[in-house]
Parts: sequence; structure tokens; C-alpha cells
Amino acid sequence: MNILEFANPIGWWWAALALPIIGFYILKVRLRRQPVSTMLFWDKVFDEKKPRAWWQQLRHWLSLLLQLALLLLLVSALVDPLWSWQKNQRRKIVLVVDNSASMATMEEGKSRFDKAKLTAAALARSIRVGDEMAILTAGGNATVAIGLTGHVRSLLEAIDRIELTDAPNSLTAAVEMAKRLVPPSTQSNLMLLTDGCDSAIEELQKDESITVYGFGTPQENLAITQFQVRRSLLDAIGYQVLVEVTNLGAEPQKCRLELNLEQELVDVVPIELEPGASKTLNLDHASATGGRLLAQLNVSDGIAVDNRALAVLPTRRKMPITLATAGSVFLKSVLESIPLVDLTVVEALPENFKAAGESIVVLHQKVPEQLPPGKLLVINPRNNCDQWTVGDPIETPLVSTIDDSSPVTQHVRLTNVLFPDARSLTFTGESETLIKTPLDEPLLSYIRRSGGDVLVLNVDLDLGDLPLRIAFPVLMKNAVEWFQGNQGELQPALATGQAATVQLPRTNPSANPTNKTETGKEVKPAPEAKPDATDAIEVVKSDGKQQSTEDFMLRSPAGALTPLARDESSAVLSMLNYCGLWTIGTDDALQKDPWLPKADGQAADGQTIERESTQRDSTQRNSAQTLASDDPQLVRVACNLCNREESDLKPRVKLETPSDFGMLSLGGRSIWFYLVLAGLILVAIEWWLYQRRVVG
Amino acid sequence: MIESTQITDIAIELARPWMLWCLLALIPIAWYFWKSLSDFPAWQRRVSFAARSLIVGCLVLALAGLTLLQPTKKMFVVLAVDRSQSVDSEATAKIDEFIKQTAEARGSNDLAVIDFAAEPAGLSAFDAERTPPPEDGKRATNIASAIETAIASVPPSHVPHVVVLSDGRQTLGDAVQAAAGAKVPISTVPLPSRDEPEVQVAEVTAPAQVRQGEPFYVEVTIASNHADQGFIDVYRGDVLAIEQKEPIKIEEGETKLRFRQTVDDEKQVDYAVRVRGFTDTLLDNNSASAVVFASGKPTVLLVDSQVDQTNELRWALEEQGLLVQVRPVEGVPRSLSELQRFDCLMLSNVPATAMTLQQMEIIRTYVQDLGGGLVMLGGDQSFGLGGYYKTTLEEILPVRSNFEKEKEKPSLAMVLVIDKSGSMGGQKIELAKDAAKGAVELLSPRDQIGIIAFDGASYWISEIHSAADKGYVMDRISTIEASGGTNIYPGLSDAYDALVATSAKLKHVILMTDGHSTPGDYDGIVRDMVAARITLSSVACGAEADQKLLEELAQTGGGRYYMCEDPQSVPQIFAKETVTASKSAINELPFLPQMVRPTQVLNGLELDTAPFLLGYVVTRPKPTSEFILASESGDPLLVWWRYGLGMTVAFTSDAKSQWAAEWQAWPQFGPFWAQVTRHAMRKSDAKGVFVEIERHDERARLIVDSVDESGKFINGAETKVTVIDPSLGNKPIVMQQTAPGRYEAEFDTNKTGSYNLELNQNQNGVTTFRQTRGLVVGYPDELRLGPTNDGLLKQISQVSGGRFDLPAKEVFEPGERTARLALPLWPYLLMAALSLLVADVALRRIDFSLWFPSR
Repeated sequence: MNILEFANPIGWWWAALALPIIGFYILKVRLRRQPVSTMLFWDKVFDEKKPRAWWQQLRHWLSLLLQLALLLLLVSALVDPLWSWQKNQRRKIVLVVDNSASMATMEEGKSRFDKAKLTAAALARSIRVGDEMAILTAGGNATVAIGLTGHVRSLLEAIDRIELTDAPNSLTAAVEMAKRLVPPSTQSNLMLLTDGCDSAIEELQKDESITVYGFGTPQENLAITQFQVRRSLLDAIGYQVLVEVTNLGAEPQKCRLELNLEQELVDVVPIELEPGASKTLNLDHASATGGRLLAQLNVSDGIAVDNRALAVLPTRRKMPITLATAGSVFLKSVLESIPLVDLTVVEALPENFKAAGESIVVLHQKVPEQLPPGKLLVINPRNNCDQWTVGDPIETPLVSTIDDSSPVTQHVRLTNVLFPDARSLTFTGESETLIKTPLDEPLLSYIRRSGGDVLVLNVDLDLGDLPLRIAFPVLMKNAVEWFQGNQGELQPALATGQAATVQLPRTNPSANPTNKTETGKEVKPAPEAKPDATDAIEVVKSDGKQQSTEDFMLRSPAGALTPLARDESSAVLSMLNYCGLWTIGTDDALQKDPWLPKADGQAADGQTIERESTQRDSTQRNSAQTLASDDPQLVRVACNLCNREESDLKPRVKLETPSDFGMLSLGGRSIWFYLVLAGLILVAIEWWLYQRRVVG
Repeated sequence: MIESTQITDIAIELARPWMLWCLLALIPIAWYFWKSLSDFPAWQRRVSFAARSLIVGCLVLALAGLTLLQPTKKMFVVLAVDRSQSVDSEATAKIDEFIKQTAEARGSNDLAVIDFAAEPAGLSAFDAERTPPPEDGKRATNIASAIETAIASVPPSHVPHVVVLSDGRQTLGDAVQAAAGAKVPISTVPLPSRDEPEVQVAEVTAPAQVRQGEPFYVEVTIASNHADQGFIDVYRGDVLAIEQKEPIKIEEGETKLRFRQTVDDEKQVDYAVRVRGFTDTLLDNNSASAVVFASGKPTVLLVDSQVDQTNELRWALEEQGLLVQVRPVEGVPRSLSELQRFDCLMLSNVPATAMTLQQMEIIRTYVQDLGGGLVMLGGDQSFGLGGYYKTTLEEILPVRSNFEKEKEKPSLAMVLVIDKSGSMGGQKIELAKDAAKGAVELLSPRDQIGIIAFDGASYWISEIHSAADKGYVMDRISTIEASGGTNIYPGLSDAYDALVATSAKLKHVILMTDGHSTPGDYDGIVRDMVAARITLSSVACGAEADQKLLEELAQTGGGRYYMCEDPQSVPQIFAKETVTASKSAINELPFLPQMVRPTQVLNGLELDTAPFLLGYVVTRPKPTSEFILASESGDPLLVWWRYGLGMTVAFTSDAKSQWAAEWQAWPQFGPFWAQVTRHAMRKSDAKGVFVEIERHDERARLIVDSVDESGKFINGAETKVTVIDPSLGNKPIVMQQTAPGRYEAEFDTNKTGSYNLELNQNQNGVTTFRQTRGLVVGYPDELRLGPTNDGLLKQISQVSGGRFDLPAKEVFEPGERTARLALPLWPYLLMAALSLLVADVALRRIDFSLWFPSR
């Protein structure tokens, strides 16, 4: 087996130049004929001159040898020799550079990422003529930094352009992509530059087609590994925060966790964790306005990106309620006492009354013959309407059964309570009874209508003691919340690198109001069957609703806009590689966003909140709170690292450190380079030897 | 990637500019030149010095990596060609034509092709022979990964251009994001969508969760590329729920339909909608399903061989708040999702022969992995008498079907007459041998067994022999091998002769064949058998068998006839026949139940007041089972045990008028059965739990929101889900809490069919909820009919600066963009240095003043 092979063997023909060189040395230098007046001087010189020693005879042969050596060096360089282990000519090298969050760890004054880039640059510089290299990145989504090229400068420029992400690594995906690009063969070379903070590295290291180079030593790190905020189901303005803090280092850690909602300090929790331990906190707080909630660990450790996390707390809107009553004080006071209720009291509903959007209409005693559309709470109906007929007073209006599975009657204790003057009600359509008498007479029922649900409480509030009981305000609060449809709203904060489907914002906020629950996701009411519908298949006529055809943009925490691929009403987010607040909206809506990132490039997210002066004008802050968090034309997605594996800064396996011998050619350069360098030195030495007799 | 901006000038660059420091070597060279005592003429010395300096210069520039950068407009075009299933022959013809025209227009530019579907293939020459992707790989379209691979394949020395030929119906990845980050113009060429007449069920939607009795709509979207009319069948489980009399007219595009449903006595209902009678090409996309989960009362499926005798039990259970659905034996669920609708399955006198092995496997999965309950009631076709010996169900039941035969029971002599003709070869004969061995195992030592195999003739495999020596008989059975024709008569005749000679009280023949026999006096031999008090049962193995003859033989022979479509059930038939023939498994003496082990399950019941039961099936309790009630002779009456996540109960008597006539009048009959059934059934409570399942890219995300009774989020609870895939593979996953009250898990859904999920949450050692859910994965999105997604293709080209609907001839149209072609110059510099070296030597060795004397 040959130890050396040559990429350009045709270059050996240049060795033929040795012939003229030797020829020049064999030829006698013919001196000039110069007539002189006397030969005496030269005769004397000749007589005194000692015969040359044999070795002195060889001087010009030594000179010849040096010239031939120089020729040989240069010709050897020209043929581009390769060691046998380098013999694959025109190699295709794919370099995968890990630019995940853990690569930000600083070690010996340099980040792991900087070290990886320096190694990548050294590898790129060491490729031979004919070699091609491609560079992929493996932070968040695996992407191509540069396709296959042998042009070193392009490779170096591409390496320079690679940026660190806040996302977990995607080494496996990047390796798959690399293998697709250059299928493993004897002429391919797949190299991985990573800190090895991923359990997948073990498998990758076993793969013989991959050379894994590692950077990094175990580092201390405390991380927020889970962070979400969610509206309470019990309290109209309450919310609960889930925070998990994990100590991924080898030493016990002690610090503080601070929670800020729109720059207002909400909570401070001391954290003390043993190595490997986690602490999960469920914190209850209250705020009607909502906004950006930032959790921050007061600690200095391996990486900073996991010491803070951001979430968006949905705003709870006020519920407009119109109470039509001849003057029930009880009812008015009870409704007023319910949080987030905007009550309007009228004596009677105007004709052709139409309830606005999500508002609730409470009808006390008098009801129109044709119930208006919308959400209706009817108390003590006295006259007939399209939904029921009022009969005689019920003989024993005693509460016998309560359906406690319904949210309306939850925590309502009324068994054996009298509902005075309750009238017998006969519903025209399908209804469900939640509270009934021993003879199954309805005392509280609901009717599902296509125009809006109707809840009917069959009791005279002026008689009996129901309004004085705790159960009454509970029942009213339950009823309002049932109409509101509060589901524990949640706009989930995503983890970086996580794909998620989000509902697109409504471009026309007045149309089709729906409950917004998570990530702007609208809860579509379950297809509710009309009572008179048949079980046969029927063709549904199109409702003529046109989906918006506008283009939506995705704005990064740094303010960069990218177009968003979408289907009719949703889009898939797959490239959230940076922590902070991402926003989706039309170009126009994004321009008007009060949380628009500033011109200096600061992001309008939790990180900015931290950086911004705390002396910011409070008026301005309040206006941002009310406007931004409630803007239905924008969808906001908070993004955090929240990845235990990525925050664990210990390499999972022992990784080889790159060395000169690991470069793509000896000492980081092709052999020709060293041959030329040697040739250059020889050129200088040979010149010195030839010209060494100099004037003193 | 080099960005293709406009580059007009030739440029040079130095890859290692710091190597220029080597030029400092010229200083000593110049010094020595200056001070040299060489006697060559000055001009020759100067030329020599210049040559040497040039050599140094060339070498230093080579070391510094001198590279020539030439602007080039040479293009490298990659055609990313969609080869997924949605691309039909017409589109393929358009692709071929496009490639041909592009190749003609390429000039000196480069052209390559990447075929893609679910994954991109490697880069190939435009004229290369390419193998199409495998069928499995064609069932998805990932334009994004094709774009990424195409871009990575273009060398920066060329002007890159990617052209995507696709119908734009991506099912994986995000092509627009990939294109936006590409920095390379990506043009798109829309391919026509399938134009063969196609009708599909695009979507079936139903509310994920309803209350029992609450009406709701199931919405169906039918997509078609032509106006048509046909029928739409709606199946609720396996039952055709809505049958149309008139065909429905559909328009081109989407037609939305709906129908009203309610769920009354089931927990989970799956609706499958199928289209038929339309002009159609692809069949795989003609059905779609949806699953509805109903919260409410617990539901029980009671399967009974005599449906008319189930009223008492049904009424009793319904009175106790259980919803009961009664089915005949044919109604044993055939799929896990069908069984999942119920919290408990009661098998009342259902023989194993009425079920397939797959159905039994489903029941086992239902109990073991999904926490379902199984109650088996006795009867003359239950336990051992039903052929459950060595079946999957016997494995999960707390009792064994084999037992020590009591001494007073009469002895049995049995002959198995088994067809070993050539058609029985392979699996059939092996199953027959297993069945015969199983039958031998069930016999008591006082019984006798003989085995006859027949083809054209009859052979004694094992002459009538005491069943005490089971090993010998089984060894003999193993020697049977299939070959030859079929002639039943000699076998029957030999069996008759042998049995007549035995002294056993009971004599029985089991005949099994899969073919038509040569004629013989079958009636005569069977009548002889009857006269000799020998009974005969027959098993027709497969539809090819002479069913008429076998049925007649069994009828005349006083035995039973079995038509066995699936040879897998032969062992159950043999076991059933053996136990039935030995007449030892039933004890029909009236008895009072005896409490063996007091249990809280039966609290409040006064078993002392329980009347007589009139009979039961003899079984043996398994070692770890809970033996609750026994007969007066100590045989099991009520036994249960936990099996996996579920519970199985064996009640060896019945709840019908046959043995429980007096029990039905007992006031505690209802409470007894309700308490036993509730103990067995899955404890599922949907209160405070909302389950959502999202599917994307062959992955499903399960989201569970759980709150306690007071409405508080349940945090920090141990939440698990067991995913049973369509092939009954079982995968437990621990769900992670992701928000207050919210738990999530992800799992693969790359198989078509029903996925069943068993959810289980525990907090502080208390189960907060347990629920089952279903998910139906229909045909792949690739088969979803739809017009070409021009919107996506336009967006891809728009965000990347490419063109939409690019004509083939304009693919290589030169634009403003140029690339840099880098030419490393070191080899040329070395060649120059070598040439100069020769000149340099010549200048040292030759005195040129001879030819050019100085002036």
C-alpha cells in the first residue's frame, strides 16, 4: 500500500527541468578573452595557487544538488501529495456546528460557541484543493449555513455569519440532513462540533461516519425549566403561575426568584436547591389587566438565557350586563358585586333590543313575547314567550334535586329550600333542568338556542330568603361565568425550537366573537344540534363567511419580520429559536403594536423589561397594558428555553478535543504548503551559499 | 452561501495574507546580492537577482493563497421535483416535459434534479435514470427539506436557482419558512392536481366530549373534483347508523353535510363515514372517522348467547344506575375502539368458539392496558365448556377451565379423526395437532383417547390408549404430516370399531376435515355409532369442506357441528368438545353460595338470605385470585383478580332462569350484580378533566386539563397515558405538567387506525381520574384531495425572490445576479517558480557576456 498518493501526478513532468539544470552544471563556463599587457602577474598567481582539495571540487556539485533539491521540493508540492489516510481525493466534508443555547457557556475567557467557530474556521482553512465543505448549524432547527464549496473564504464568511441561538440543539436532525446532502462514503467526512450537552451524542459518537469534536467542561447552572401562567377557574381576576427551577450543577445553589408583571414586582421567592434537585412552585396572584409576566433568577451561572422566562397573562375583559327590572335591589347588588361586571340597569328592554356581542341580558319578571337573541338570564318569568308557557304556582316549590355536575350549580347548597311563588313552566323546546322539585318541576333550567343560551331561575326574589343565602350570589356568579365561558385561559409560553400550531388573529375584531383561550386559540363551540334536527344527513349551506386572505408576519423578539405560512385560520410556528416575545399579525397591526420593539433593536419582551429604566412613565406603561395584551389582531407567543437537557452544561460523553492532527490535512494545511515553505527557505539558503563571499 | 449580489470585476484574494511576511526573505537576498563578489557582469547579476526575487515572490504568493475571483453568471439550477402520491400521471408528464425543455435551454449552465416526497433524494444529473421513491415514502410531501437540500447542493461558484415543481400540497415541514431563510431565489412551477375523477371524505368532525343524552352534530366534509351523486354511509362503530335511500348530490369542491347524534349508553363512539357510488379513483381516501367521548353513567356491554333471557340482569343493573347494552354473541366487539365504549364487558354463556383470537386479544388489551372490566358468567357454553382452555381469555380470568375430574363421573373414550390430506398442509395441520394435544390435556387419567389420521386411507396415529399417558399420545400426534387425498369413511369405520371395543361409559368421536370426501356409507356408519351410544361431532375446517355432509353426520351422530372459517379456532372447538363430551364440567345440584373470603365489595348484602342457585360450571381458582364465594362442594362461584390495570371476575353460575331462577326474585339480586360489576369496571370519571388531542406531522399531542371538585387546578400529580396503537402495541408515557392544571405528552401516530389512550392521574396516592380516549388516524394527508396550492407556491417564490409558474425556457434567463468563481493560483505560481529556477541556474552557469558584451 502506498503511503503517499498524489492529487496532481501529471505535475511530475516538471521534474524534467532537472535535465537543463544538470546540463548547465556540466557545461564549462567559458570565460571571456581579455587581452592584457603581461602574463607575469597571472603566472605568479597560478604558481601560488594551491590545487583544490577533492571536496572543493565538489562545491559546484553541492550547488547542483541544492538546485535539484529545490526543484524536487517545488515539483513535489505541485503534485499535491496526500498521505494514504488522506488519499480520498475531492473529499466532501460536512461540518455541523452546534449553535444551541448551551454553547454560550463561557470557559477560559471564550464561549464554547466561539471555540467551535474557531475550530470550524481552522478546519475550513485546512481543506485541500478539490475538497468541498458544507456547513450546517444545529441550534433549534437544523439549517444550511453554506452548501458544498471548496472556496475557503466563502466558508469562513459563512462561519462568521453563524449566530448563537437560544434553542436546544438539533444534532440528530442536522446529522440526518448532512447525510442526505453527502451520503456516507469513503470520500465523505461528517464532523460535529458540539459541547455534547445532549443525550443523543452517545449514539452519534458511536456512528463511525461521524467525527465528534467537543468543547466544554461541566459547569454550574441553575435554570427555570418550566414557566407558564394561567387564568384561574375560580377567581375572575386570579391567575396561577407554574415555575420550576432546577439545579443542574454539582454544587448547592441559593438565590431569589423574582416575578414581575409589566414591571411591577409581584412576588419574590427564595430558592435553595441541592445538586440535581428541582423546585416546582404554584403561585396564585390576581390581576384583571394581564400583560407580560417575567420570572427571573438572581444568580450568575453557566448560561444566562435560562435564568429568565416570560409568559403572557391573558386579560380578562369586563362583561357588560343589562339588567331589566322594575327595581330588584337584591339582584342589582348581587350582580354589581361580581368582579369584572359592567352593569347597566333599565326598567324595561326597548323594543327590538339586540344584545351586543358577548353581553348578558338579565330579565327580571317581565319577558318579551319573543325572547331577544343573545345570552339571557331570566329570573321569575311572569309571562309566556316563545320558549315557555307559565302555568299555575307550584304547590310545593321545595328544592329536591340539584345537578351538581353543572358549573352553574357548582357549590350551590339549596336542598330543602323553598322557592316561593315558583310557577309551573312548560318549555316549548328541549331544555335541561338543573334544580327541580320533588315532582320534577323545573326551578332552574337552561335552554340551548342557536341565538344564545337562556338560563331560567324560577323564584320570586322578593319572597322567601333565597337572596339572603350564600347560595344566591354563588349561583349568580356561576351563571355569569358560565355565560362568559371562562376556561382557565392560557397563552402557553413555548419552548425554543418547539413547533406549535397557532390560530391566526382576527383581522376584523367585531366579527364572530369567540372565546380566546390559548395562544390566541379560539374555542370553537361544539357543533350543537338543534332539538328539532333529524338524524338524517343534511347538506349544510355555506354561511358565506370568507376567510381573511391577508398576509401575516411573524415578528421576532429583536423585531425582525418574516412572512408566515398559513392555512385558512392557523399557522405552524417552527422556527422560534430565540427567547422573548414573538408576535403574529398583519403588517399594519404590527406597526400599531404598543409593544413594538424599539428602533435601537431592543426587544419588547421580558428581557427589555429588565433592561429598561424602572423610572419609565407609569401612564405610558398603563396604556400599553390595556392596549397590547387585549389586542385581538395580534397573537403573542412568549418563548423560553425551558429545556432541562440543554441547561445541563455537563457533556454527556468524553469528547475528543480537536488538534492539529485532527485537521483535514497535516498541521492544518496541505502537504504542498509545507513543501513550498521548505522550498522558500532553501531558495534563501542556496542564495546565501552562492553569494556568501561578500565584500567585508 | 455566497450571496449572489452583482459582481462585475475580476478580483484576487489572499487566503493567508499573513504569509506575505515571508517576503522579508528578500532583504537578506538583496543584501547578499549587493555585497556579492560574483564576477558576472552587473547586468547579469541583476537579472539573476530579479529571477531569484520572482521565485521568492511566487512562492510567497502561493503560500499566501493567492486566488483569482472571476465574476460569473454561470447558473446552477436544481429542479426539486415532487414525486409524492398526489402527483399523478398527467403531472408526471408535465414534469418530464419541463425537465426536457429546461435541459434544452441550459447552454453552458449546470442543471441537476432532486426528487422528493416525504424526504428528498440525493442530487442527480437531469438525464440520469432515477428510481422513484418507495410507495411508503410517497405518502407525504416535505417541500421544506427538498428546498434545504437543493440549496445546500449548489456550489457557491455558480449563480444558484432552485425550481420547485409541486402541487404545493405539503404535509410535512414549513416550505415558506425554509424559503424565507434560503437567500436563494426559489421559483415554483405548479403541477396540476389529480384530474382523475376523485371523491373523498375530507373531514369528519364531532365534539371531542359530550354528555350522555346530549344531542350534537357530526359534520362531514366531502371533497370532489367533479359534481357527482352517490351514497354516504355513516357507521357508528361497526353498525350502519344512517342509511340513505336517495343518492346525495355533491358539487365540485367541498360539500359540507351533517347529521345529529346522541350517545346514550356508551362511553365512546366512533363514527366512520364512507362514500360509495361516486365516480372515483383512489379508494384509500373514501372514509374518515371521528371519536366522541361521552361523560355520564358507567356503561356495561352484556353479551349473551340467549339475549331474550337477559332482561332481569339488565333491569337490575339499570336500576342501580348502570347503562347496559345487550348484544348476542355475534356482537362481541371486533375492535378495541368498539370495546372502549364500555366500562365493563360481561360475557354470559358465550363460547370461545364464537370469538376469534383477535377478539380475545382485544379483550385482553382492554383489561390489561386500558383498565377495562371483564365479568364471565357460567352456562353450558362457558369456561371449559365454551372451549376457553388455553385461550387468551382463560389467561386473564381468575379461574382455570381444566380441573380434576371427580371419581364418580363416567369415563370417556374419545377418538379424534383428523384429515391429514395434502390440503391440510402448513398451518392447518399444525393447528389440528395443537388442538388434538389440547384435547388430550383436558382428559382425566381414567379417560381414553385414540387418534386417527386419514387421507385416501385411514391410519392409527395412536390406538385407543389411556389418557394417563399423555406424553406418549402427544408424541404420536406430533408425527402427523399432511399428504394424500380425502376419504372420511375408513377413519370413521376404524373409530367405530375401536370404540365399540372399549368399556368406557361415554364414547365420542370428533371428525375434522377441510375437503370433500370420496363417497361412502356415512349414514350407515353413523347410525351404527348411535346404536353403540357413540356420539359424533364434526368440524368443517374452511369453506372448501363438505359442510352438508358434516352437518348431517353431526346431526345424526348426536353431536355438534362446527363451521370453522379460521383454522386458528380449531383448538377451542376441540377443547369445548372434549369438556362437553366428558360431561364433567357442569354441576347441576342446587346449592347455597358459601362465603370464602369476606369482602367490602359485597358490603350491605345479606348473602345468608340468598336463595339456591341451581347449577354452575366446575373450574379451579388460580393461586393469586381472590376466592370470594364457593359452591357447597368448594368449587369457585365468585372469584376475581386484578389483571394489569383492569379487573376480571368469574361467576361460574349464571344470572338467568336456567340456574338463577330463584336468585332473580331475591331482592338483593340487583345490588349484588351492581356491586360486583362496579367493582370490576373501569373507574372512570370525566369530572374536571378535559382532554384534547392535536395531530401534526404524524405526531399527536395529548393535552389534559384537570381540576379538582372545587375548581382548583390539580398540580404536581403523577399523570400517565398508555397508548395502544392500531396493532395493539402498548406504550406507557409519563405526562409532563406544562402549565397549572395541564399535562401533556406526545406520541407517534404513523399507523393508520384507532389509537386508544388510557389516562391515569394520581396525587398523593389517590387516583384523581382515570379515563380512556380514542383517536382515529385515517388516510394520510397526502391522499387528501384538493386543488393545487397555488397560494403556498406563490408565497415560496415571493419570499425568496423567485418566480411563480416559471416557464421552462426562462429558467436559465440571465439576471443581474452573478457569483464568484474562485481559482486558486498556487499551482500556476509554482510552475512559474520552477521555470524561473531554470533561468536562474542558467544565469549562474553561463556567462552571457560572451554573447552580449557590455558596452
